[in-house]
Amino acid sequence: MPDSDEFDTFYRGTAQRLLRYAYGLTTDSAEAQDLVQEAYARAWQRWRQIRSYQDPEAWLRLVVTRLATDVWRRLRIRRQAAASQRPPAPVPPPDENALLLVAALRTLPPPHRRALTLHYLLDRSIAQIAAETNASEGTVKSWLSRGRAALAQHLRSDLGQETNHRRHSANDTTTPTGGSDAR
Amino acid sequence: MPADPSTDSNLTSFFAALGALADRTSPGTAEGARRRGERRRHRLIASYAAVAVLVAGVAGGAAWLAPRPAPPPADPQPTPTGTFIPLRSVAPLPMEIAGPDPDDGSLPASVTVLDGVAYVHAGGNDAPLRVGALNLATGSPVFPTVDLGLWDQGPVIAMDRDGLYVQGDPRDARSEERMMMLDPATGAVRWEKTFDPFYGAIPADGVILLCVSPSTVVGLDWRTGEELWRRPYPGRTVTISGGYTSAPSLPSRATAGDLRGHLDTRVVIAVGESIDVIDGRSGQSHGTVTLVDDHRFAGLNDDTVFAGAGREVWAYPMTGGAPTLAYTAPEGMEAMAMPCGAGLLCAVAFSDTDVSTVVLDRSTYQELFASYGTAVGDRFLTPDGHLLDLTGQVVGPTGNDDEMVSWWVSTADVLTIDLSETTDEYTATVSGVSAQDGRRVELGQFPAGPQPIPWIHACGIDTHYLVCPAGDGFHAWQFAAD
Repeated sequence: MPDSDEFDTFYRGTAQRLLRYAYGLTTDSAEAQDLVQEAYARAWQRWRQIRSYQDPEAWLRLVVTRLATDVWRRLRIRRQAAASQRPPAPVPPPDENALLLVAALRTLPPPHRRALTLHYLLDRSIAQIAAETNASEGTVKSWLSRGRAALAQHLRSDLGQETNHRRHSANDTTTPTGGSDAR
Repeated sequence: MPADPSTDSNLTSFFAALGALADRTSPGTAEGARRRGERRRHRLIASYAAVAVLVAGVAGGAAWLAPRPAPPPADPQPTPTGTFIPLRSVAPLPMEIAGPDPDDGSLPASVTVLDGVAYVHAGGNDAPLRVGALNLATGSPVFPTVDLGLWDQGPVIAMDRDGLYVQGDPRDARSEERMMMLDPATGAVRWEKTFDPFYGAIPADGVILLCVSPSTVVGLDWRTGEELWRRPYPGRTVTISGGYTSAPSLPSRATAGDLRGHLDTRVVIAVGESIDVIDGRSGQSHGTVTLVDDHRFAGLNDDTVFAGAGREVWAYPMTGGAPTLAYTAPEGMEAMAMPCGAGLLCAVAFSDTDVSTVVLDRSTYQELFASYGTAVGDRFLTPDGHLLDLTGQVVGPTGNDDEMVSWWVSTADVLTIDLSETTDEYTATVSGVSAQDGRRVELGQFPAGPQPIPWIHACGIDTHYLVCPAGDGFHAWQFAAD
C-alpha cells in the first residue's frame, strides 16, 4: 500500500477523535481544526517513522497538546492556516450546554482541561490518562476532581445568570406594563 | 434549559454536548494535511528567517526581506583598522550534523564561544542530541562529545560560565520536557529536572525561570538547580514572556552566546491582563503595568515595557504615565518591536507572506528608515552585512553577493561572511570591515556546500575566532590577533 493511502486511511480513522481532543484543549473550533491539520502535517513528514509506533494516535495527541500550549507556535500555525485554508464550512448553532462548558473550560488550568478532555470526550480511564500524561493515578484523580469541582462552580454561576436573564425576559414578555413601570 | 452541573452524570451530558459540537466540525482532509506537510518541506529560507526573528527574538535575518540598500561602487579598499589576520584554521571538532529541519528550515546546531572555548550542539528531531566543546587555542576537545539521546523539538541551548544549559523534549519523556545543566569543564550532567511543558521555562541571567503551576513562578539557581525564590500569583494565570536585553551588547572575548551580562536581570511575566517585571535573581517585583489590550509579545527596554497587540505596539512606562502607541503595522499584519541600539527600537510587521521592518527613534517613535539590525554608536549593522549610518545611508562598501551574515566584533569592527555561488556549491568569504567607513579586507574563504544559508547563520564568534557547523563537524578559524 502506498504511503499516502496508508496515511489517508489512518487519518480517516482517527482525525475526528483528534479533533474532539483538540476542541477540549482549545475550546475553539477554528483553532482545533488548525492544530489537527498541523499535527497530521507533521505526522506525514515523519510518516515512515510514525507508522511504526505502537500507538501513532497518542503521538498525535501529544503534538496537539504541545501545540495547544505553545503560544508562539499557535500564532505561526494560525497565520499559515489563515493564508492557506478556505473558510470553514458553516455549522449549526451549538448546543447551549456546550457553550456554557466551553466558557467554563477556559477557566481551568491546562492539566485539568487535558484530563477532563481525555476522560469525558475520549472515554479514557484514569489509568490510561495517567499513562498518557506520565502522571500518577492519584494525580490524575486530583486533576479530575478539582476540574469537576471548578467546572460545576462555573457552570452553576453561569446557569444562575442565565436563569435570571430568562426570568427577566419572561417578565418583560408577560408583563410589558410592569416592565415599563419598573423602569 | 441547561442541566444542573452539580452531578457527574449531568457533567457528562455537558461534555456530550461539547463532543457533539466537535463532531459536527470537520477536521479537514488527509490530502490537505499532506499538502501542508509537503509545503513545509519546501518553505523558503526567507520564511525561516522571519520566523526565527519572531519566535526566538533574535536578529536572524528579517533584514533579508527588508528593502536592500543599493551597494555603492566597490573599489579596492585599504585594510581596516583593528587586529584582523588572514583566516587561520583550527583543528575541527568532528560531529555528525543533520541538515536543516524540514519544519522550519532551521539548522539543528549552534555555537557559543566563551573564554576561548567553542561549545557546540547538534541534533534533535531524528538525530541524537550531541554536545561538545573545542579549545580554540589548542584545537583539542575539552571533553569527549556527550550524547544525550533522541529529542523531539529542537532544544534550547544556553551558555553561562557556570554551565551549559539544555532544555527540550526528550523522546523518552512523553508529556514532560527536561532541563539539564552540563559542567562546562567535563560535560558531566550537573543537575536535571523534568517539567510540564504546559507551563514553560526559560533560561535567564544566572537563573532558570520555571512555572510550576498556572499561577506560580520559581527561580532555579543556574549552578545547582536549587530553588532560589518562589512567586505566587493566586488566582491568576502566568506566562513567562522573557525579557529584552537592555541594549544590544557587543561580543567580547568572552562572547556572543554567554547570557551573563547580556540579558537584563529583570524578567517580564504576563499575569492575566498585566505585565509584572521581576528581578530574575531575587524574584522581587520591579513594578507592574496594566495592558490596554490583549498582547502577544512583550519585552522590557530600560524602564519601558513594549507589548505587541494585533497591528499595534504600545509602550508602557514603568515609571507611571499613560501608554504610548509606538508603532502600527500595515493593514493585515501583526506587529512586535524590540530594542536594537541606544535610543532605537526595531519594529517588525509580519503576516504569513510578508515581513517588513523599520527602525524607530526610541524617544519619539518616529520612523527613521526601513531596516533591521543592531546599532553600536552611530553605525547600524543589518544581519545580512549592510552597514548604515543612523539616517539609513549605506556606509562604504557592502557585500559582494546576495547573501551575507555579519557580527559586530568591536565598536570599530565587523566580521562578515558572504557567499558566492559556483556551479554546484557556494564559497563563503570572510572579511573584516571597518565600522567607521566600511573599508573591508578579505581574510579568507571556505567551502560552504550546496545550501549554505542555514549553516552560516548557525556560526558563532568571539572577538578572535569564528566557528561554523559543516556536515562533518564544527570548523574553526582564528580571524584576529591580540
